[in-house]
Amino acid sequence: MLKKFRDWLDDRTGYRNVVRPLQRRVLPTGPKWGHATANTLLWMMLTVVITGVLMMASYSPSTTSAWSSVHYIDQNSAGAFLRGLHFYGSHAMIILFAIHTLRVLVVAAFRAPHEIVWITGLLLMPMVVVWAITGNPLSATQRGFSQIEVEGNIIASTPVIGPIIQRLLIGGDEVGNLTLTHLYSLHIFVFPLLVGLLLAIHLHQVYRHGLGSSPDDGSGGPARPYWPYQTVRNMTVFGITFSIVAVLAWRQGAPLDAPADPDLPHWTRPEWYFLFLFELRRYFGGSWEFIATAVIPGVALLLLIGMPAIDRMASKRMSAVFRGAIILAGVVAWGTLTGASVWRDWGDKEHQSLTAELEGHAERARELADRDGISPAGAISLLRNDSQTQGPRLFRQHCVSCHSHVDTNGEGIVAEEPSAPNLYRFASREWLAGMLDPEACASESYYGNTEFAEGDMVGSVQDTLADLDDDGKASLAQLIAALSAEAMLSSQAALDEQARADGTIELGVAAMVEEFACIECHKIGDEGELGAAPDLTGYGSADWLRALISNPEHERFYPDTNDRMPAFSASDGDSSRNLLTEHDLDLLIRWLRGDGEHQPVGATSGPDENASTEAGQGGRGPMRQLPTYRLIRTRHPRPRLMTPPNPSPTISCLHRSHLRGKLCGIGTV
Amino acid sequence: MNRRTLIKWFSRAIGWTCACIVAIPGIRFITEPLRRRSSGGGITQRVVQLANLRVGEPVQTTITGSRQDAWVRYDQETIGRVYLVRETDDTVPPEQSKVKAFTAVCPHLGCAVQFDAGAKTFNCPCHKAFFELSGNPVSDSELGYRNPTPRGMDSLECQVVQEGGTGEWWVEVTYEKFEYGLTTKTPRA
Ligand code: FES
Repeated sequence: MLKKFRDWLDDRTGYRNVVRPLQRRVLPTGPKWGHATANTLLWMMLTVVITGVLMMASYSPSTTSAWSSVHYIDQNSAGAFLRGLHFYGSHAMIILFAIHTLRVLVVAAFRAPHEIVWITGLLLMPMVVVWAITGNPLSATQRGFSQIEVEGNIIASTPVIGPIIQRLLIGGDEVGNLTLTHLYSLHIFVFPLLVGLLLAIHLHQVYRHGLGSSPDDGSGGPARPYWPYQTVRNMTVFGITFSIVAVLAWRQGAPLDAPADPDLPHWTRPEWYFLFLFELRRYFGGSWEFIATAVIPGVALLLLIGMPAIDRMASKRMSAVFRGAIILAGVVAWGTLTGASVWRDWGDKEHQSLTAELEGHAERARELADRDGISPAGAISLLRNDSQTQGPRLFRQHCVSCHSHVDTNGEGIVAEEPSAPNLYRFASREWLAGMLDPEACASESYYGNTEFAEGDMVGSVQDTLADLDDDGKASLAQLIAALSAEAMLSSQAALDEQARADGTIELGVAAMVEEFACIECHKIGDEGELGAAPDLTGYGSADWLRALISNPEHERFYPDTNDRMPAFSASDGDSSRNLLTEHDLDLLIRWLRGDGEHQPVGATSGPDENASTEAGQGGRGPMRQLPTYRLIRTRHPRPRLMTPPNPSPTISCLHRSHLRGKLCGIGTV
Repeated sequence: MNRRTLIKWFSRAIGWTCACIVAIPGIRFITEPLRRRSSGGGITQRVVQLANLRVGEPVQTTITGSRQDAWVRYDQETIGRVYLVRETDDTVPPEQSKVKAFTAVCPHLGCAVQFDAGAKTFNCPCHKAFFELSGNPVSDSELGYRNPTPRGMDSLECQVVQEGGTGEWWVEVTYEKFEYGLTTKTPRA
């Protein structure tokens, strides 16, 4: 039956004429393990092509959807595995290609009549590398986009044609949508087509002239048919390589860096196989860089292409020496340059912290995408609206020249020259306890390095709070609890609730008004006047912070006594005029307060927020009224006993560590 | 010309004409990015109040504007970052005070330059270019290796202007982009 069908097919197509010679192919000097790399390379390429085609079914090349669609592929475990095979398979291809080329060079398999085999092979090698490179940015990651940007600039450093090619590749000035569509068409069509054509010539030539094992290497055995003697060797090597790739794909998966965002720091290292070029460029200055990136590799390639001719001119011995020298030089140069680059990064703390930061971003982006999904605005908004990511970045950019943000272990964002309070856990009970401690308040963690070091606040803390008796200490603790409750920190919600229920807060407010007479300078609720010192109403709350950071010289804060704090967002409306946009300000405050980012930025959280936002921005709206607890109760309606003093599930890990944290060290930071 | 030559030429002509009808628009379409130049010139924006700048403490501000990425237009995007370095203190009247503006784009290959408040230098994490507060590259001998940057940080046009209504003094910057890797500052065409 099957035989009949085959006969019919052969009659119509004549396929046996093609297949039979392949089946009966004989290796005149017997099978060799060395031949297996080339075959493994072919199978690996097939794996990569098949997995690539499968992924195409779910991939969408645009800046808004590329990362999301790749993440979508990853969310399916089979998809993640396929992507892993594709990724590690392409790396394996490059390694196999290098081994294959070296072997051909060693055994001088390029000799006549194999010149065309040799040349097409040499052209295939850079082509396969570039093919792989065009795939890296397709996931629209920070890493991928940084790489293509730098690669584009490297191309542009070639005189005359460089800039043109760069523009065509990138699709304009900046990496964006067209970059993705251009690379995509190159990656899935143009390069496969070119590689396929060259490969067809290459293989046809191999078939026509036989495998180029040199007859003079003396290792030839008796003639054997290719199938199955060579095939079994091929499949063994391929099986081993494939297993490694599959295990990596399964255990490790292909990496997915954070979505590309020009606002995030750039990833600055190329793929491992290009590190040598990256390193080489360091030694060539400015406009000579194209020597490293174009001339040297070009000359090396030409030299290799000329090998058959050189070999023919030289004696056998000379040729062997020459080839040995080339291999040695190539391997040593590649190895040293790559090694030097890795070594330099190894010792570079800054690079490592940057890498760690970027890896953190990647993890966070995936976590957010898994948890909340991705909006139509694209994956870029994941981290842009994430206070945990943006908070530290904004703090480093705008605040760290004066403020630190370090915990008791000294971990966090450290100001080089702290000249304003450490804002770690600002307005929490621990923070306030430090500020109201006679020693700590004059230390560099609080006001030690500010103009206020000599001011009334530090003075009165040192005068009145130094030798408190036990009663005094108790009411100070109540004061701290009451003032800290004004901040409505989510991490302290349970404590605040408890304090409110057992009357601590009322006592604390009374202590502020009477016993410690804070209202002589400060305003709190209806008590006291504005002007002399910051308003304590809503102290440390989101609105209070927003108003303070926007304009510290507002009458609520330091109308006359502002030390050096800039007004970050003083002009309403036109955000381009402000040091901080409203969006950034929101993220910064959210992060400073350790608020979860589960509510979208810009959304109002409750009726009271509107009222105080008005007060915060215009300064003319109604101030919030004491007693505070009535307002606070509307925010935290949870019954006291049902809220464990431990983190609630919505609080992310960052805040958990805050909660676990020790009390802010008094005078020790 | 005999009949056979004629029909040969005739066939060729049809083939090539059709090929050209595809190829010419094809090339035009593919090379479109070469002709689509960014609008040219810079955008001028008031970025920060003079009072918020202090001598020796560069401040990074953002330039916002709309950006077109092929078929998507982004409004109010950060399209650039600028360092402002104030050079004269409050003793100098605002209209005479000097502020320098540098784009945060590294002239080497375009990474984002950072400011190190401790060392008072600008540095680029990509290939470790270093710049002084004046924007000049730190010398090779001081660095101990060849500073990869081909030129100093790119300065931007920058003025201190008084706002009509409020009388506040603002720093106004004209943001532009420059070619990378060249020894002289060349605006991107
Ligand atoms: S891009 Fe800044 S040093 Fe290379």
